[in-house]
Amino acid sequence: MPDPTMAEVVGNPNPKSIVRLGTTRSITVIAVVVAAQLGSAGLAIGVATAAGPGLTTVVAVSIDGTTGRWTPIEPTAKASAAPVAATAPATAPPAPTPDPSVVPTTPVAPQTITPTAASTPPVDEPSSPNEPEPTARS
Amino acid sequence: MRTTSKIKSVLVIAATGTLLGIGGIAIAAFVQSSTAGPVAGSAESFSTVTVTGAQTGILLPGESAYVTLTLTNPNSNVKARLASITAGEVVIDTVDDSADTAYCHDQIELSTVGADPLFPTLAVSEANYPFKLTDAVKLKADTDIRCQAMTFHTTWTANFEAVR
Repeated sequence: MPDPTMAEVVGNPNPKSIVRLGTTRSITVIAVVVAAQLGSAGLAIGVATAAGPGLTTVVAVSIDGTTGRWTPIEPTAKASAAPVAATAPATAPPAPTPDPSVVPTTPVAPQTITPTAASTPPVDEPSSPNEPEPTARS
Repeated sequence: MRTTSKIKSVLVIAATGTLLGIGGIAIAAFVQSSTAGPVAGSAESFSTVTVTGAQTGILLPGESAYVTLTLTNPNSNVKARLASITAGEVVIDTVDDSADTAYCHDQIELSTVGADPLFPTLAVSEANYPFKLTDAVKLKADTDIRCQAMTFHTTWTANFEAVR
């Protein structure tokens, strides 16, 4: 009875060479599985190796700076602006000054006159015209 | 009979594949642990590198200032290699007239061209490594008085890579 796992290859020039098909298939499948497993293991090693240098960190830093002072290129631009603002309030005060001077003079004038006029009323004095001396006093 | 043989073959293949798979994982784990030393697995720890900086000098129009970064690697397990450094932005903090902020912002230029040509690799736990950027901050020559005595700050970004 012929072995079912053995068969003669059709067209084989050497009829004595017989291939064990089942065994070949098994070996092929095993080889594929082995290759796949080793491949995945190698991939894992590769990933692990790459993971080390692949670690990165990003750092942001802030740095303070300042600028100095230097001579203005156009000093007149700002110099002319300032005096204008300064002269405006300076000229304003002279106007009010006349007002206070007017206020005191008006009451003074009538009052200075009034006493002299009041002093004159002693018209009663002429009632004694015999004495011309009082007129000399004034 | 043929069916039984095939089933046997499949079972043998499956068993072999499983064993080889376990073996492959074991190989991977072995190689990985031997590479990483005391750290198990692929997740190596890498703490952020500390960077502080200072700018030299007070700028007048047309002048440039150096920026010196001080680098410290806090990691005791890996070295830290400076991979890149980039200039960020300019932020005006104070200026005489706030309306001039935009103008003064545009008068400052940042550059990394003058950085030290060799990017350092900080040793494990190495501290206070100075890294200089020559002419990193420049105030344009045509800057007018609106920007005098202003204060500002510049931002810089450093990228570090963990190496063995």
